[in-house]
Amino acid sequence: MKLLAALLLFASFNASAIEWICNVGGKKVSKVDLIQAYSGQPVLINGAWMIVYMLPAKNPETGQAFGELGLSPDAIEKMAKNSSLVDRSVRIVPSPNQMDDKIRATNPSAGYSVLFVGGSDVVNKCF
Amino acid sequence: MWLTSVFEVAFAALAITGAASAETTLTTGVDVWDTSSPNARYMPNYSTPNEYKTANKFAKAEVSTDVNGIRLTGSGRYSDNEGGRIDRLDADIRIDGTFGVRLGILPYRVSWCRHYERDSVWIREPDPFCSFYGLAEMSEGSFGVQGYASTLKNGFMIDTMIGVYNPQVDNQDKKLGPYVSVGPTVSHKKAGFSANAIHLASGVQSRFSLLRTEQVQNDATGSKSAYQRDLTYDTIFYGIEGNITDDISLRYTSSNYIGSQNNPRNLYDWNGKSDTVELTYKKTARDSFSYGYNVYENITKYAASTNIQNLQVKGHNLSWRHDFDDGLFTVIQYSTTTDDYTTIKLVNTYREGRSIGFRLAKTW
Repeated sequence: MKLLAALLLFASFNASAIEWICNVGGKKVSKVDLIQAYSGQPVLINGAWMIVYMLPAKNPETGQAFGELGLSPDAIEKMAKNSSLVDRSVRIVPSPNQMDDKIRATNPSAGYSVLFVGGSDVVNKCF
Repeated sequence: MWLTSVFEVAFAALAITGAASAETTLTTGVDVWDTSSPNARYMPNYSTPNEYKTANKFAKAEVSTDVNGIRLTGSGRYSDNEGGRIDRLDADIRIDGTFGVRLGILPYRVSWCRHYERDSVWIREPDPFCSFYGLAEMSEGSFGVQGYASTLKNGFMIDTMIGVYNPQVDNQDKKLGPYVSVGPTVSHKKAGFSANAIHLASGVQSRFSLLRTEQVQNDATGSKSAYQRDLTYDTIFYGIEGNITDDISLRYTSSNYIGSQNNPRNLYDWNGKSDTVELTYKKTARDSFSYGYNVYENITKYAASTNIQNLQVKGHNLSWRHDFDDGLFTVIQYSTTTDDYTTIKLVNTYREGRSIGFRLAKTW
């Protein structure tokens, strides 16, 4: 937990410097894809819909992170609920640890907080 | 039921052979209630399907996976007091990014009910149309097909959905809005429409839903006035919610069952309306405090009598939810209720109740 917190802290200083690009099976995923996914629009990667995770909207880091993407965490959170008319590929997780676990277990997927969970190892961990 | 079994087998096979990884969510917990009155509507101990237990264990699970771009989802829940049910067992075919079709056992998606949801601020929601088993049909579902569309316009994400259902396929035909089943179902059909809009910049959300039910049952209660019951009723939901400050959110919902018994031998109309206002103060990311006020009124008019029966239930609810690390959370809730109904008999029908409850749960 301490290691994760340190990584988050370290990466938060560099968040704005990180270019959001990952390569998955030759498919280039950009920051635009990330915004699209968190806006509730599907992003298809190798025949599967990308799942994106976020911490609860009230989490201070969430507000900061999604402000950088120009999105409202409250709106994203509402779209992610089970009662939504359209199933979005957005999931709410209660902690960075669970976000990390989910990203490891789900392919393709991404997590976005103040920075990408896992800090400098982001390119390997985000999908 | 055979179709349900076929779906279950198909899901198991896909889970084993599925190319994409499965996504799973599980919430487990226990609710403990201390309730003052044995009869007041709609306290936790009021008319539960299973024998009431003060400590109510529950679990809610969902698993989904993609196979060739088709999303397969299964979900279900169990609680000691309400038993188990399958909420979803469906295939979601997205035609493109803007519309798609779902087929299988599907939630009606009429309301914003949060029964046993992992992010709910309540143990039991203030709206009895969500929390009370006998009225919660609108928060459930049945076998059917749904078509949905989504569009981004003027800063609003607008979702629309139409659905048709045959509850007899998965044995959900005994659910009749506010009424209990009287015998074997002859036919039961549902069709509905929902629209939901979210303002992406502010998070303000609104919804309107309409679900029409036509249902015929043969009365097998053994009463002298046995008849074929022929019901038509509409389930109508509308709501709006959003933040009024950075920390305080407000939500208003109106749930309605409006219908008629059409058989000339026993004509009557009813109008059930449940209005709820909730105020939630999110003090921190870990602590939420909520107040909810609900008024439920049901007016039944009988054609063969001048008697009009009016049932009114009012409830106040307070809750405090605290989130710990790694998905562990607690909720403390205090609820009061009063209920009364008109009757031609000279008896006191007024009742009141109080409950205090504690939930300990974890999302895995």
